[in-house]
Amino acid sequence: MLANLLLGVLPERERRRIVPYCETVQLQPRTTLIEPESPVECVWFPHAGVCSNLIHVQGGEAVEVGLVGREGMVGLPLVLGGFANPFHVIVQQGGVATRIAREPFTHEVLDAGHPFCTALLKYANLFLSTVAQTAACNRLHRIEQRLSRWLLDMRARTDSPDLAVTHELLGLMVGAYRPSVTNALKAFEERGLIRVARGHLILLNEAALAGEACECHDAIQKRTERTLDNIRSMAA
Amino acid sequence: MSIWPGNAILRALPAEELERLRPFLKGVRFSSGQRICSVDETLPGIWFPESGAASRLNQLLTGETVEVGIVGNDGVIGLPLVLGGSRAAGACVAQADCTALMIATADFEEQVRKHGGPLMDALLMYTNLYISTLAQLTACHCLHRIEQRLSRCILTLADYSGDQQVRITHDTLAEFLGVHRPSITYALQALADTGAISAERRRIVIADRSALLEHSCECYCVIRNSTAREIERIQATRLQP
Repeated sequence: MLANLLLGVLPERERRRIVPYCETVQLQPRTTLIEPESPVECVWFPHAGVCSNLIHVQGGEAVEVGLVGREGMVGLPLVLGGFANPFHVIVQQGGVATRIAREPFTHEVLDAGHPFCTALLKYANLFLSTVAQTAACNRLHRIEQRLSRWLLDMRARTDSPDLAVTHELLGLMVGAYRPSVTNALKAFEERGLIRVARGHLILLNEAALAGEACECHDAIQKRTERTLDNIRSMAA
Repeated sequence: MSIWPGNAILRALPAEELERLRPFLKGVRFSSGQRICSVDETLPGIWFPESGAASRLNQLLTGETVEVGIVGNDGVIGLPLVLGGSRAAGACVAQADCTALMIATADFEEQVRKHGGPLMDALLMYTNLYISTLAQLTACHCLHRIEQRLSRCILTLADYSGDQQVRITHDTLAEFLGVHRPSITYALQALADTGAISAERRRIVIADRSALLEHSCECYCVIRNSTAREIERIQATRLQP
């Protein structure tokens, strides 16, 4: 049941080495995995479900800077051996993950030069470029473009077009105020692109959404595929 | 090169490790405005600035850009190499005359990345710091007003130039903040009207630093403090050869 793509590419021997430190946990929607400015105590490799990395600023505002699903991991500061962690990581859509605690992860699992370690660094590079893309996207692209980008980014990480997302959170996700999000959603709904229901949102026409989105969804998708191919060929 | 290099990451290394790497470190110079690397281009190496400042820019297919960091002698350019990538994630442009030490890609791979070691450990910790800076800037670009972001940029560039003036054009500031040039001109005028700065065509002078701080968002202090704190931690970590 290793749907997580980073765990999935591990050679059998490497997988056996890591298994003793892994536990399977549920990702409950709207729960916090990591508090900002506090030490990271675990890493998570989602098999299903999606997590959001949020940055809070003074005045109570926040914005999402990157999604993590089965293509990635939560808890990068532990891979990099760093101290700073500005991220508030929440579960956006519920699911299942493999969790490894800090101590065995940094002392046993992470072994410099091991293929797993190399793969995680390549993922860190991908995450970095995704955040940078989000920086440009939130600044330069229209709300309709960002909303489509985000919905497709979510869809790429889930098995169903039915996304568990509340209206309140959507504003944070695309870095916009609620009224403009409401208007954009309404316009999409009228055109038959999506259907908004209480607590979730159903994608009805993904091709049309892709036409609405800015270049950023494609750019992130392509880089993600290139990185995962690269990790796979390295593991083979 | 003096005994100790001017770059904070290299200074964190044990003396014997620095000695070992010295033959691979080459001094380079960039003049203000010169491109150090371009988006998606194969990186020729990794740079450790010793003086000056450079901007990191993320560039979209349309050519539009936003600033995703300003780096000086407390940072590193070419981080994808550390993480096993080979191409530049964005562009990097010298914003003042810069000197740097550079390790070529092949040497970096052979001498640093392949076997791990103190420099690799320091670079990973720095990467973590950079990701948190980048995330803060992502929020800043999205949530803060142009005068706030402009003040943050001016204060940061002035920190690296070491005096109260910044040589920069309105065009470059527009590339930094992802807005059109007239908005920059307008915002600079608004800041000048408060007495915080005086703005010329290619030069901004900080007239009242504490006033400019008031106009800036929290991001200037957040990034400055976390950078200082994390660099100190990297230097305090006993990096094992």
